[in-house]
Order: sequence, then structure tokens, then C-alpha cells
Amino acid sequence: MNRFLKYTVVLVALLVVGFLYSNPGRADDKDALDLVIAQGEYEEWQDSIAYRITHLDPDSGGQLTGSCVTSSMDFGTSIASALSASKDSGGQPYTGWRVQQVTHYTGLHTALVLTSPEGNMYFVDNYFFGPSIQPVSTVDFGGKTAYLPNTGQQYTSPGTLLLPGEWLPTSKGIDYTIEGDTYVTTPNPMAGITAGSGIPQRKKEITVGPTQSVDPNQKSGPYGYGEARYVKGDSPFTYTVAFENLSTAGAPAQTVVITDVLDDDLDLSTFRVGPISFGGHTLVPLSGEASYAGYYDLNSSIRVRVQVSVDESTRTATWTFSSLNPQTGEPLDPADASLGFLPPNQNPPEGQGYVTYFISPLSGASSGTVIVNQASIIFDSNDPIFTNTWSNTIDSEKPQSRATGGASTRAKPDGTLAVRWSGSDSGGSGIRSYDVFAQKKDDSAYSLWLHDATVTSAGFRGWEACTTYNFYTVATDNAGNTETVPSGPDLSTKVLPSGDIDGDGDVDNNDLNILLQDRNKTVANSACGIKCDLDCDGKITVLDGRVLATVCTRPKCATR
Amino acid sequence: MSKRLLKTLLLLPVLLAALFLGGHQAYGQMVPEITLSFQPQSSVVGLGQQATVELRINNLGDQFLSTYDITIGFDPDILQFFSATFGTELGFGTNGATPGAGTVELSEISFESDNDLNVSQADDFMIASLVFNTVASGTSPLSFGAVMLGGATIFDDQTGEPIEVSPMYAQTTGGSVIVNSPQTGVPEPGTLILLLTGLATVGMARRKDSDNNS
Repeated sequence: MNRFLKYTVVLVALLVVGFLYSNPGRADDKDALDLVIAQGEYEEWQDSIAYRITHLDPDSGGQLTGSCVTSSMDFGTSIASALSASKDSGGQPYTGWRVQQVTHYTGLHTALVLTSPEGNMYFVDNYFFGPSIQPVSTVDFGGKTAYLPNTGQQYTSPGTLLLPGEWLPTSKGIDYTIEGDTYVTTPNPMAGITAGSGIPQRKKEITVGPTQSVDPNQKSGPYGYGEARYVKGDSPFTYTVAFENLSTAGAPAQTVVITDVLDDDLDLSTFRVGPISFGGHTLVPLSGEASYAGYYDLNSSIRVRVQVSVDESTRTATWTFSSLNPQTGEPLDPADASLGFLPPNQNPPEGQGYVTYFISPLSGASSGTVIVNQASIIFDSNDPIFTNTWSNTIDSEKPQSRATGGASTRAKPDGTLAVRWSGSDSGGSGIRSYDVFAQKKDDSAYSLWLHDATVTSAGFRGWEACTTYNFYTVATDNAGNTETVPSGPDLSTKVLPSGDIDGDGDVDNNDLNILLQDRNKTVANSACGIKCDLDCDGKITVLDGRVLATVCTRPKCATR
Repeated sequence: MSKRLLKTLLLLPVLLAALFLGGHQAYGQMVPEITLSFQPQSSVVGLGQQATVELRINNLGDQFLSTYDITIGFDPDILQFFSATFGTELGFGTNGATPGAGTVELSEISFESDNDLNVSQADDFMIASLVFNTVASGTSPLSFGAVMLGGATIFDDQTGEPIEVSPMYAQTTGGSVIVNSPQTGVPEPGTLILLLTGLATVGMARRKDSDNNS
């Protein structure tokens, strides 16, 4: 009986384990969803979702998401791919962008976070709709417009510059105006929501960047490229200084002063205050302000005053957090160690915060200029804590490149025309990729043959023999500088037939015999056609045969 | 001014011009034109025999022949193309003879490299030896029809790829083949004249001897 009982218990245990293993997806989905939703405020909106950005880390490099996708569709990948093939309104490709993906909700709704080469982060919303919805083919990133190929039944929102602490409402079922055209998403096949009814009911708070802890006193800036963190320097830099009252501290901080001496190559007139956060509370100054003074009532006994200013004589930006008595408006008694706006960070983010600012390099900052910044943080009367030094190197020089070759190029037996190109970048970051454009001579326009090519040669297909093709390249460096489109082709070359007349992948005596059958005929009157006119003179002669003999695959034109 | 001095002054420019022209003529003679010809230029064969004629190229100088396509014409009422044996100066390659109505087209493409041809090829050589059957008596001209000669390969300056083959041009000299009728034993006119002349001489000698004796 005991043995029977044992077997029964083991059997039940096995069944339980088996049941649990048979439903892993549900548990995984929940975990993944939690990862994406992360901690924080959560509100239901009727037909909209909003995100609150609690932390920005351009260095996260696409490591953000755990996929909670409930369908197998990967819009993030498709958008990333489309973005990489996109042009801005000036016809220049987007380069150096990194894409992070936040897939959520039903799996048909994808939020993308993109990091620009300068380290600025943008948010893009992407929906998959039913076939009745007009796809949108443009995305705006901070004034630039990306023209995405129509990806089918999708809608992609304009890009929004991300700032820590801001809410990002994303909506379904409302009208979107893109480039002057209105795309109405009604009826929404997903939820039956009518256009324009966007009543907020639902919010999510996500962390953009690693969820793991970071150095409590850290400065970060434009991500840039490479160890030198090359950047173009033609757009504002976003700097963030993070601070933390360590969990091991014995008392809350009453006063925190952050100072940041701004590099000589930064343009003080462009300094703008960004979001300020402490203890999970965020103050967002009005856009475009160069200084700031604000208050936040933390509770009935502590009011936090935040002041931001720049002393132009010393080029020092200062953020001062002060703990005030809400009743008197006076600073708290420094002798009372139990009071302060920033407690030890035992339950993050109660004891941590950050400040953000935007500033542009001097317009004349030349390539090679290194912009270095380091902030110091003073908690009450303690010694300053110096952050890491964040440096970027300006590369504002456009790279140079050109397609190279001769006036004539003989096609290869594999049906390709070998095209080569090379380039150089005096700005320092080095060439990242090339766009190669091709044009059949006398055609009206060039077409993009290769996009973001990291190689320096490739086989061009689709050519017509004895026809001249033009090529030019446009290089982009790792800082995002794109070469000026040349006024004319780098390479103009006539495609000569390969000699592989029988199309078997090599050139040999068999091809020669075919050629000789049409000896002394014009191309138009020959059975062989232009394939046999190896010198492109319009006639098939022994001279073509001799050329063929010189390009034979094997010695003496031996057959395989 | 004396007449002698005047003559000298007039002759001097003439002499100088002659020297100048003579010098240039001498220089032009340094690069003789490439020629195509038959060897022998004229041959005589009896009807029913075969006529063998060599097609030759001369004066290649620092050039070389890498390919050719030559059409030779003849009188089909007198000659009939029988065979062609190609020379060896183009090395390994492909060649062929295509007979037509009163023509034979000879072509060859060398598989050797330009360098090998340049080094090994003679300035003058036999392209091919042609054999004709004789079908009637008479004289058949040997003429050149279309002639295409190829020399060095032209390579692209940048890529080094072969683009085309340089054509070459040659002065052509035709030839002939005389086909005689079969021998019948009837003395030819020349022989009769000699015989009659001999007989007359002998006759005259005898008369002179008899006159002297008498």
C-alpha cells in the first residue's frame, strides 16, 4: 500500500510538472510584459496608450526589449530595415541610427526607440492595421522626414524627441496629419474605435535603457562613434548628470548642488535646461529655457526648490536642489539630519535623480575638436563627487569617395560587372558605408544600386552589353557626415561582353566555335547577337574571336 | 656676279631639297609595308596536276599576327580548291578553310599570348599552303578578297582588361596559275622556228662551202 501511495504521489507530481511545462508561454509572456511595462505609473486610456520615460540611456544600444509579442510579426525589424533605407527631406540617408524596440499590448502595436548619431532618442509608434487603412510612408524625426517604403497595412507615427520624465501619448483611432495629408485610421479594425475619440484611459511607464543599476554619479552625453565618440556636432548635445544618495548613507540630503563647467567649444547661447528628476519626480522646464526655478512639494514638511543657471563668466552651469520648509519657505535646519528631499536610495528611485541639459557645439568647431565635460555633485557639506569625464570628438568633415575603373569593363562569366570604389575621411571617424548609384547612360536618372555598403567592390547585374553605365558613390562616415553628391559620374564605363556565349559560366573553345559560326556578320544579322561582339564594333569577326581567346577561363581556351 | 657663281647659288637649294627628300625617302624605306602575296606568284602546271601555292605574309617587323581572315579568289573554271595546310607561326589555336564558289576563306585565331607571339613569330612566314586541282587549261588569277588581319591586344589602361585587337593592314599582290593542256607531240612554234633557222643556217653554210670549192 505504501508503495502504491508513493507511486501515486510521484505520478501527481509528474503531472503537475508536466502541466507547468506545457504552459510556459503564458508565464514568459507575463514576464516579458512586466519587463516592458516596468515600474511606475499605469493608467488606462480608452484608445490611447502613453509612455512615461523614466530614464534615457543612449548607450543601451538596442538591448531594451524583452519581447512580449503575441504574434510572430516583427514590426520593429521591418521599421528598422525601412529606416536604414530611408532618406531625409534633403535626400540624405539616415545613418548611424540605432533602433530599440518595445513591442507591447497586442503584438500588433510596436513602439520603437531610435537613437540618433548625436545620442538623441526618438520615439516612434507603429501599428499594424487591416487592409482598409492607408499606409503612411513618412516619419518625422526632429524636423527631418524619413520616407519609408510603404510597408503594407501599417501606420508609423511621427518621431518624438524623448526627454526623461515626459509622457508620450500614443493614440489609436485619431487622425494623423503627415506632410499635409490626413490619414484617418477609421474604422479601426483592431478595436472598433472611431476616429478622434481619443479619451485617455491607459498609461504605461517604461524605462528606455538598461533596467539594471548604473553608476550613481555619472555623466553621459552623445553616444557618438568609437572610443573618441565622434559626432557631427551640427545638432544639440544632450547631457545627463545622474546622482544618488547612496543606500548606505546615514541621512537624507537637504541640498544637492551640481555644477558642470561647459567646454570652451560649446556655445553657451544654446544652453537649454532639460528635465530634472529626483526621487522619481520629474520637473520639465518649458522648452527653450536657459535657466529655471521651480518648486515641488514633496510632502507636507518638505518643499523642494530647484534652480538652474549658467554663469557665463565661468562657463558653469549649476543645478541647486534645496529642501525648504513649505510653511516658511526657509531652508530646513541643517542640524536636523532626519529631514531632506533625497533619502538614502534604499528603495530606488527614492534616493536618486538626474539633470539634463542641451547645448550645441560652437558652429565653427572644426573636425578634431574634443569636447570634454565633467560634472561635480555636492551633497550638503560633503566634498564634491566628480563624475566621469564625457568627451566627444567633432567630425564635421564630409568623406570623399569615388567609383573607380576604366572606360571599358569586361563583364565576368558569372554575369556580373565588377565595380570598385574607394574613399577617405579626413574628419577622423572613418567611412562607415557607401551608397552606390548607377545609371544606364542616357537614362534620365540614377538609381540607388547599393545602400549602406560596407564593401568596396561588388558585381553589378542587369547590364546590357556594349552599353555605357555611369556610377558614383556617396560615402557616409561614422559620425553621420554624408558626402556631397557629385555633379557627374565618378565612373563611366562601357560593358563589354564576357565571352561566355553559351552561358555555362566559363569562356572556352566552345564559346569560340559559336562565335565563329557567325563570323563576318553584323550583330543584327547574327544568331549569336551582341554576346559575340566582344569588341562592341557591331560586327562579329575573328578579331572578336581573338579577344575571346585572351579572356578564356583556362589556358589555351581548354574546355572543362 | 659671274655665271658660275649664279649657277652655284641656284643649284644649292636644289641640292639641299634633294638631300632632304632623299633622307625622308630613306627613312620611309626603314619600315616596309606588310605584304600578302603568293609564292610562287605565277606557276605553270599541266592539266590534271595539282597546283600548290603558298600564302605568305612579309615585313611584319615589330608587329605580329594573332589572327586573320583572308578570302582568296580564283577562276573556278580552271581551279578547284583541294586543301590547305596552315603554318605554325601563330602557335596553338584554331583555324579553318572555307571553300566557296571561286573562293576559299582562310582563318586562324591564335590562343598564344601576345608576348609569346611577339617573341617567337618571324617577320616573314607562310600563312598557309594551298593545293588546287586543275579542272581546265587556261590561266586562273589568284586574287585577294576580304582581308582582316589582327595584331596586338589593346588593354584598358585602368583595369588591364582586354578590350579589342588591333587591326593590321597589308599590301596585297595577286598571283596566277597557268594550266597547260596535255602534251600531243606536235612541235611548238618556237621549236619550229629554231629548227628552220638551224636548217637555213646549215643550208647557207653548205652553199658558202660549195661556192668556195668551186
